[in-house]
Amino acid sequence: MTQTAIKIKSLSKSFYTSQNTLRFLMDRFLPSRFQNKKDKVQVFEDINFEIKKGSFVGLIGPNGSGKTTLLRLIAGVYPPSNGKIQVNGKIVPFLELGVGFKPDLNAIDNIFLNGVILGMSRSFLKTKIEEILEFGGVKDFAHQQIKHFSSGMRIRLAFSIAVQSKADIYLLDEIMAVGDAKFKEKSLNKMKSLLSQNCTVVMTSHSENQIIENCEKVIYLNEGKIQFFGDVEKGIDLYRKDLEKNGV
Amino acid sequence: MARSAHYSKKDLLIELIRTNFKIKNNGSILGFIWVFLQPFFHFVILYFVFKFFRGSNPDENLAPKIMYALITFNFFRDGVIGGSSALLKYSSIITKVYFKRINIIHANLLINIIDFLLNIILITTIFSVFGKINLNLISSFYYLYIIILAVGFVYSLSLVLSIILIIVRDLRNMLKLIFQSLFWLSGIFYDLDSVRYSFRVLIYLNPISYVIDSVKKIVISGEVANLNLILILSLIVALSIPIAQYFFKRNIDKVIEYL
Repeated sequence: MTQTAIKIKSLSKSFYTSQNTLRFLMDRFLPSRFQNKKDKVQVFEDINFEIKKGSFVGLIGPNGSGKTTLLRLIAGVYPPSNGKIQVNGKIVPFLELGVGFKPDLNAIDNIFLNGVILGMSRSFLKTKIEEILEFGGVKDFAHQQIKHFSSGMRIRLAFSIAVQSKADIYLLDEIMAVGDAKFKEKSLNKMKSLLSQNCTVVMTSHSENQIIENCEKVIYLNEGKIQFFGDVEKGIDLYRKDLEKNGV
Repeated sequence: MARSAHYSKKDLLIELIRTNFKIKNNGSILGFIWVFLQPFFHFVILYFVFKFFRGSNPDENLAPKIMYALITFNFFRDGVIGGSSALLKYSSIITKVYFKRINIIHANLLINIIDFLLNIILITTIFSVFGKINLNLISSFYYLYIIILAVGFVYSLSLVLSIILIIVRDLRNMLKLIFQSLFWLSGIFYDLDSVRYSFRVLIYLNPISYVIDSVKKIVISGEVANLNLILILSLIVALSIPIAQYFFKRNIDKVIEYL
């Protein structure tokens, strides 16, 4: 029997945009009759979908369509304005590589900090230090402050830490392949081996090829609604047509 | 509601404290010694200024009184101001991954407790050598109780103010001004008993003042002072912690997207 990994029911999300503190306070803490509707931007309205365990789902849509916001909602970073998000299993969100990295700390200290933030234990990280430094190609710079690292070295280190985490559900926001061509290939293989263990993946990518190669289904998000959920090629086709219609 | 990853609270706290400690001392020659040097230099200035003012009527315990008062006040100030800004300080992490945000407040409180306890251990050792301390078993327990009370007070204020500060950013400057005023009104370099009675009522409205007064009396003369006020404060703190935790949990999700 196929089980549900993520179930979204009647999800709506709006953000408050006014810089006026008093209006903000009234909006957030007083009953709705005192609220000013003009101060809100509606990102989603009444979104519904269900993702089965073990499936790879791509999230596509133009810039600003709310892909990252949807991943953040699923990860629990933001609360929904309305509706329900049901998640079955442990989630690791890769919404940004190197979350919490401190430039003044060395690579090893940052491995512990970033790893713990991503949900790994210190004892687990201790056993993985060598592997992380080796994979990221920064073994000779383990005791160097990462402010002296190139941006490529930093992103390789961040990716090497992130792929150590074990989860039932991965949320990937444009991080399938990072670094130079050589590391990109290495990271893609590592990602594929990590994701081949019957876990559920929701990924965003601006590379249509990546979505076609890796995903079984696609969610096309636009204008605050799900425009399509299903076959990858049909979804991408619809997305392309909409882009052409809008002259992009 | 979805919540990602299963975090080890202990590991997260260790890493946040370690990181804070390393960054604070990064590039510094004296490093962690600054934890002691900062209050010490402040103490030296206050000591000589107020010794000079007292002239022919010196208080032989002025030095330990100022030192204990100063580190207690610094704990309140740094704890409340740091705690209220803690969510903003870690906003880049909070908006990227989910973990229990209350851990940020806990980490900040622990960082301040560590600095506070290190200072207490050092000055108690120094003043004990000079025979200026009068702590026995009972008075040590009372002192420990006052420290726990101070921690509870700072904790509950941090929980509430950290939420409010996300919306009302002026609060950070307001708190700095409040603590600048409280520095003169908390009996750091004078005894509350020497203040005119009509003003004393005002000073007693500030709980930091009688916490500091109690600390000075218990450590230096072993006197259990202000027992009624301390018991009232205990009741307020005991009630305010669960209320502050409830306020934090209820509102953290509402304000997180404004970080």
